[in-house]
Amino acid sequence: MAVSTVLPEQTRIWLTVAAVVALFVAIGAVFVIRDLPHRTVQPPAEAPVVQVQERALPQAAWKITTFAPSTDGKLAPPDARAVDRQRAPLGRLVRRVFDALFVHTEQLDATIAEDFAPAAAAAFKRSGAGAHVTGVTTTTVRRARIGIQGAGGARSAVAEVSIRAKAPARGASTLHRSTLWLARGDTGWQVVAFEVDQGPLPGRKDGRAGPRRGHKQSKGERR
Amino acid sequence: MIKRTSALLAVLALVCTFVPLVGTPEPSFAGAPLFGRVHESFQPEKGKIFVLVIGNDARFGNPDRSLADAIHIVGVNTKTMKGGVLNFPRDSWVSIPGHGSAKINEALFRGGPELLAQTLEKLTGIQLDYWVMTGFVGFQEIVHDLHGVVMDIPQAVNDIGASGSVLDAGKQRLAGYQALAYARARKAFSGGDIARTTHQGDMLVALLRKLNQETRESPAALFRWIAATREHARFDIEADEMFRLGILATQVNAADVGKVTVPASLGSVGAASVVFISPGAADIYRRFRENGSL
Repeated sequence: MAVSTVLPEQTRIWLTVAAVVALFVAIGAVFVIRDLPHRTVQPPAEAPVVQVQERALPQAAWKITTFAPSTDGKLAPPDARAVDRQRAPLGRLVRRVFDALFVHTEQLDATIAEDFAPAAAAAFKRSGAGAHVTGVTTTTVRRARIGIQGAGGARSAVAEVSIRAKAPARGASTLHRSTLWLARGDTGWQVVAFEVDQGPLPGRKDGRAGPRRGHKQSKGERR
Repeated sequence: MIKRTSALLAVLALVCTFVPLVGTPEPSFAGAPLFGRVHESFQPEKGKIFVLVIGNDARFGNPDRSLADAIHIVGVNTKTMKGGVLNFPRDSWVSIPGHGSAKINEALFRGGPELLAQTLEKLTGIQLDYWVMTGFVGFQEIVHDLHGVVMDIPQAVNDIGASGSVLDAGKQRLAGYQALAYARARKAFSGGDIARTTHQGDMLVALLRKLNQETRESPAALFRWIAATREHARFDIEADEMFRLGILATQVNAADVGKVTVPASLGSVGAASVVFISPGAADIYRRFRENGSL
C-alpha cells in the first residue's frame, strides 16, 4: 500500500500561514530588539575609594601656619576675608600632596594629576621627590607655612614645606624641603611651580638631627 | 650520598629562611640629594621673554602724555635662566613709526607705551612681550614700600641743583627719594644721559638682587613686591601672568643678568642735544634677540 507524501491541502495552508506569521514576528522582533536600550555598565560616579590601610606607625600631626604678607602689615577687610576663606583649602592641598609623597604613596599619581598644573605635574614627577617606596612604614614630621596674597582676592599663594621622614625598618631618613607656588583658578588651587630640595636627613656625631633652617619672620606677616 | 644530600638540603633551607629576613635592597628611600625647580610652566614659545620698563616724567595728569625718562628692555632666557638689561639713553635719536625721527622719549608722548614699544621693536628687531611703566612718584613709592634698595655707588654724586641727588661712593641703602634722585641725575656725570641710563640699569639689577635675597628667606615676600608694583605702576600684564613672571624673577640670579648700555655718542640736531646710537649696537641687538640675555 503506498504511503501518500502529500500533505492534505488544509494542513499545507495552515503551515504556510504559520510560516508567514513566524517570518513577520521574527522581523518585528529584530526591530524591537534593535531599539531596546543597550545595557552598559555605567562607570561609578566617583573613583572607587582606595582602601588605605593606616600605617602601623603613628604620624605626628601636621603643623601648618598661614599668613598674608602685605606691604604695611595691614589688609583691607575684603582682602582679609578672602584670605581667611582660602586657609583651609590650601592646608588640605598641602596635606594631600605631601601625605601622598611620603605616607599614602599609592595615591601619588592621582594627587599630582589633581593638584598640579600639567607642566608642573610633569616636572614634579621628574624631580624624583618623595619616598618612592611602597609598603615601607614611614614616620613623618610635617611642617608647612603658607603665604596667601591678599590683594586681588587671594588667588596666589606659596607654601614652604618641610618633611622629615624616617623608615625605621630600613634605617633610612629623608629631609625634604620644598616651595610650592599655587594659583587659584575656577577649579580651585593648583601648583604652578615649585622648588624642591631632598636628601638624607643630616646627622651629627652625637646621633642627633642636624640644625634646622631657621625662619625669620618678615615684616608684614599676619597669621 | 645521604649526608651530602642532607647537607645540600640544609643549606637550601638556611638560604630560604635567611634571605627573606634580609630582603632584597629596597629602592632608595633617602636617595641621592635632589634639587629641582620648574619654570617650564612659563616657557614662552621661543624660550625668551622681553619686558619694556619705562619710567616717565609725569608728576600729575596723564602719564601717557609724558616723556620717557627711563627706557630699558629686560630680557630673560627661560631655558638658561640668564637675563639682560639693555639701556637706552632717553635722548637717543631714532625713527618713531609714523612720526619721523625724534628723541626716543617722545614716542611715549606721541603714542603712549605702545608706540614706544613699536619704536624699540623697529630699532632692535626684538619682539617685546610686556611693558611696565611708572612715574616719579610711583617709583619712589615702590622703593619706599620695599624698604629701600642697596646699591654700590661707583662715585660720589652731588647733583643738588638738578635732581637733588647727594650720595657718597660705596655700598649703601637708598631710600625711595634717594633712589629716584639718583635715577634722574645726569649733570653730575661726564657721560650725561648715557651715564644716567646706565645707573638706572644698575638699579634694576639691584632690585632683582634684593628680590632674590628676600624670597630666598621667605618666598611669600614676592607678594609684597607684586602688591607694590600693582599699586604704583601700570602694565599690560594679567594678574596671573604677573604672578608667574614674578616666580620666574625669583629664580633668575642677579649675578646672571648682564647690563649693557647701547653704545652711543653725544651730539646735536639743530639746537637740541641728542644721543646718536652707534652702528655697533646692531650686534648687541642681535645677541640679545637670539639669546635673551647679555
